[in-house]
Amino acid sequence: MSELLKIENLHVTVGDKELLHGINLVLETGKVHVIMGVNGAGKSTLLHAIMGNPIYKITAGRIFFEGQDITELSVDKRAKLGVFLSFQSPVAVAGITMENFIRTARTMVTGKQQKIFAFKKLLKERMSDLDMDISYAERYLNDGFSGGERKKSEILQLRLLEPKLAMLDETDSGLDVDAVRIVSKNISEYHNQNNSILIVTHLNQILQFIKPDVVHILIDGKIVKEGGAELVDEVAQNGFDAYRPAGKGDGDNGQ
Amino acid sequence: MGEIAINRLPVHTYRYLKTNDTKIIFSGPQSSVTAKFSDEEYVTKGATFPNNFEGASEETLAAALAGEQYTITIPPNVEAKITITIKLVDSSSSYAGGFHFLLQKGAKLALVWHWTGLANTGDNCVAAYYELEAAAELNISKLQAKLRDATLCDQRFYQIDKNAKAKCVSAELGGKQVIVHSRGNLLGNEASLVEETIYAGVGKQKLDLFYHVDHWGKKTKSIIECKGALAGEAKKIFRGTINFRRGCTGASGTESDYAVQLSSKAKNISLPLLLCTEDDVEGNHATSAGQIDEEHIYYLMSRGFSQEEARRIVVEALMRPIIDSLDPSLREQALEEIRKKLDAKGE
Amino acid sequence: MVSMLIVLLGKVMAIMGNDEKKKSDIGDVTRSIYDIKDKVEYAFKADTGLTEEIIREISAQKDEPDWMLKKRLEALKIYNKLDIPPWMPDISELDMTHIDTYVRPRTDMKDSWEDLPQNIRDTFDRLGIPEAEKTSLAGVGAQYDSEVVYHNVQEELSKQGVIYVDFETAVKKYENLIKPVFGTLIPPSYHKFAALHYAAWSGGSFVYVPKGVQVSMPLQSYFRLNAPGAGQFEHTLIIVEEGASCHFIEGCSAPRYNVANLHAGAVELFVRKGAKLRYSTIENWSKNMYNLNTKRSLVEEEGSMTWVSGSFGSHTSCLYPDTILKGDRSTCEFTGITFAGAGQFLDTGSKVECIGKETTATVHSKSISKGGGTAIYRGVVHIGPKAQGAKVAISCESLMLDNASRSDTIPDIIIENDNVDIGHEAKIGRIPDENIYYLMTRGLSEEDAKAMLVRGFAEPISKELPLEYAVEMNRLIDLEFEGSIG
Repeated sequence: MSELLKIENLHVTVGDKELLHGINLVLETGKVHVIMGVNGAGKSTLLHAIMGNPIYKITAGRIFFEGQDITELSVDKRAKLGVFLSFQSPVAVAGITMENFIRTARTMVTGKQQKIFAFKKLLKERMSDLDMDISYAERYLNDGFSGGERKKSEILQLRLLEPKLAMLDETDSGLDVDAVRIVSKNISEYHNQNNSILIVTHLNQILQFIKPDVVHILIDGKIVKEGGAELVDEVAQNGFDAYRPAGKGDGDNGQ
Repeated sequence: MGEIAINRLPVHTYRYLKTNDTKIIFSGPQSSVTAKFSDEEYVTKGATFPNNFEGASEETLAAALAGEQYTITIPPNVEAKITITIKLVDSSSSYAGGFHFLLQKGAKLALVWHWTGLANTGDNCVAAYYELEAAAELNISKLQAKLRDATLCDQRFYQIDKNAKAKCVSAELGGKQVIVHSRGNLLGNEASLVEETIYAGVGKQKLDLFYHVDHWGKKTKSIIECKGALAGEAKKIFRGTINFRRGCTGASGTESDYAVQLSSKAKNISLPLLLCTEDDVEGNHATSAGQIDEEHIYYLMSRGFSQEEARRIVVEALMRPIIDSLDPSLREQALEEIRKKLDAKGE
Repeated sequence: MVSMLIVLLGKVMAIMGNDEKKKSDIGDVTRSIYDIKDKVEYAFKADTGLTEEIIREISAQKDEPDWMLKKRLEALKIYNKLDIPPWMPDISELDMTHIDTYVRPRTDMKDSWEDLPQNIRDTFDRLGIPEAEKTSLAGVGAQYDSEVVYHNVQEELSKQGVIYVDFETAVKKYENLIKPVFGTLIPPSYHKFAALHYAAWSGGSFVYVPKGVQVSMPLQSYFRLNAPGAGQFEHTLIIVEEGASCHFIEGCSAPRYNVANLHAGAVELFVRKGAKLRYSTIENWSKNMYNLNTKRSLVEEEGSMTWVSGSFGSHTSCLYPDTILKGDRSTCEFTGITFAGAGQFLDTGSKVECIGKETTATVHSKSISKGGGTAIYRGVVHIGPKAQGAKVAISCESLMLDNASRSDTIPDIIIENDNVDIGHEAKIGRIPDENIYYLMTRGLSEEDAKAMLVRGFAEPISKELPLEYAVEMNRLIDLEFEGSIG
């Protein structure tokens, strides 16, 4: 087992507010990690900081990917190294078809020019795996897509870009039961010994289908507890109260 | 005087359309009445005005400044409320006045302008210079109603420093020839200006509404919103300009002009300009004009309202959000005036 | 189409060569295929400057009927009386006394490609015309320095009674069709450069589509300026009779010179009852051109007019395609894009005049400003008092790619009756950061992401254009971004 991702003492600020106060995290290849916490805890912030979103400024700490320090690296260079983020609210980009976009992205990330017909065939297969109508390939990227369709579009990209680290930001929110099942199935199929998955969820629906190896609980910008899959059930039963700093008021109970 | 040109566009377009400016006959007010202040604590006589106050035209600005002049200074961090009433008592009275409002750092002023009177045929001109220092807040509510044959020229000029906010909500319901010239400079970072106007033009009313905001500071914000109804042979022209100057990163500006046309002879002209030399901004404008949506009328009628009542309700609903922004002391009267005008319609 | 495209691209690569250093100024790279300054040989050259003598000379050279000479002289009088509109972009560098108005190359009209002089054939060869002619286009009227040199109308068109001929010939041969309408839609008094046009016009196309005829292949026309100081004043007149339909493509190019070049053409389009006309243009003039073109369309009952317009080149442009919806239930659609780069001042827009009842108009205008360029949208919508039931929707989107450039939107909306439905919206801004970020998370570099997003922005227009133009347009956009790194 090797270290795929290592985060050391990460402090992240947005505007003039610090959202993450010294995060430490290690992700090994082949594992599934889950980050849980109440709304506003900083879970999405962490994923975006790993991806390199310039809005999130790293004021202290380092991020290592396969041993390489990527803290200063631009977003696209991280993508090319094999980091992938499935967005919570993917933007719509009118004027660019899904097929064209994903084919270009795959060319970028693999470094190999994609052949049109071979790619089309592969795209069709993967869309059928996700129960996505083939007509979506011709539609503008995420334009006019429902929330569920956008999430599927993200997972479709995941399967076609084949990253080493797949970060899933609230992929299960906004999906109905069938959609969650099919999306989870695709993620499971994708997961193997050579890649890792980092899941952020506060509804836990996705965890019915994908078993985590490590669970982190993030409260107020700090990781307050780490454990195995049993933590999921514990939080489902008792909420996050046990992990909150004393005296803090009510938030979301993570149910 | 004679014929003058008012409300000239900052950037001209085709001349044959004759919309670059408006030509009117103007003879200037005699200034026979005085403005009444609800509270004179911060008011002193006399005022100075900056050179870059343009007004609707040189002539109308000079006419306003030739009348009585006041300076209203709100000291730092003080909150004040002032109502200014201008009552045109008879058909021959007219008003001219220049006002310099200085809101010092952190000052807050709620200002109400109330124009009222009977049938009046004069030319009336006001010029108000609003100078807002850092973090000052200004809320203006204006109502002008009745004054069937008067010319009302309202010229305002804002210089807004950082974090200061100015908002002006006007109900332009009276007058025969209504001229509004509003010009704002958002100088400091996060300065903002909101201009909301409602109107109901009937008979032979002419409304000439001009707004121009220059964004200089970063993250400055402007909203120009104009809503109204046109009936009879009323004519309205809206000239709005939002100018994003280089360096105003993060600024946002929105202009909208919505008009409901209730008669076939009413004339509606809209020139919503967006000028821009800065890329990191968001500029939007939207204009729409037309009849009332038949769907809405049908729905209301299915609930028992007559067609006339339904029309009135829909038009009122369009203007309601702005009416609700008016100072409470003006709301009832504004609503009443609108209802009266829409009932009469002057078709 | 695809095979032609591949051949065209092949030619481009061959000419550019492998050791061509990548230049960051778009002008330098794309112009190379067009900047072929053939050694200019002229048979006849008019005196510079615009005098009555010169106009008479031009008319005599063309052996024109009297009525045309009369129109020219009247126009010259109007030209001298009118002033330059003050709101126009600055054209003070244009000195009319030093622009040759008429230059005729050393050949007469040819019917077949092979008969043309070699250097002229070479020029058009590089622009890919023979392939175009062979594969999908019906006929090509190609203009080379104020005269239409090569012309060929396909047999099928002739059989259908479709006329597609150079304008000089048309004036003599089809006087009965042209004389009643010539100069009526765009009168010489329209503005100073329309007057100039009517005094000095030369070249252009005449298209006549008889009743009920559907021209299935697009008609294409090329313009070309080659002589230093040559002005282009071609006149295009298209009549689409009742129930007929036609697609006309106008695309132009010019080499770059130090002396200001002027293009003051006029396009008069008559769309009769129930007829359909589609007019596509890519204006890609070189960076020293003054492009003051006037286009107007008159649409009768139930007729439909579609404009597709891409403005990329020229130093200064004034371009406002105008549609008069005269007939009841007439419609028009305008889709256009303007890309103003460094040193360019592109003032474009659209005009719609609703006169008949129940007319419909849709305008989608997009503009991009970069590197100090200025893009202006100047629009007019005028709904007349009798235009009951008019429906107009306008949307203008301006993309600013940096803060050195300028983008202005100046719409003028005049509504004179109550039974209308008008919506106008405009947006100014830059490429949203979250869109750039999203594309970068999929491995595209920042510049590649921006280029892709700008292509996406332009896509509604490029998909309306013929393929080779769409490819050209995307190439222009890509090249604008290539030089920006490092």
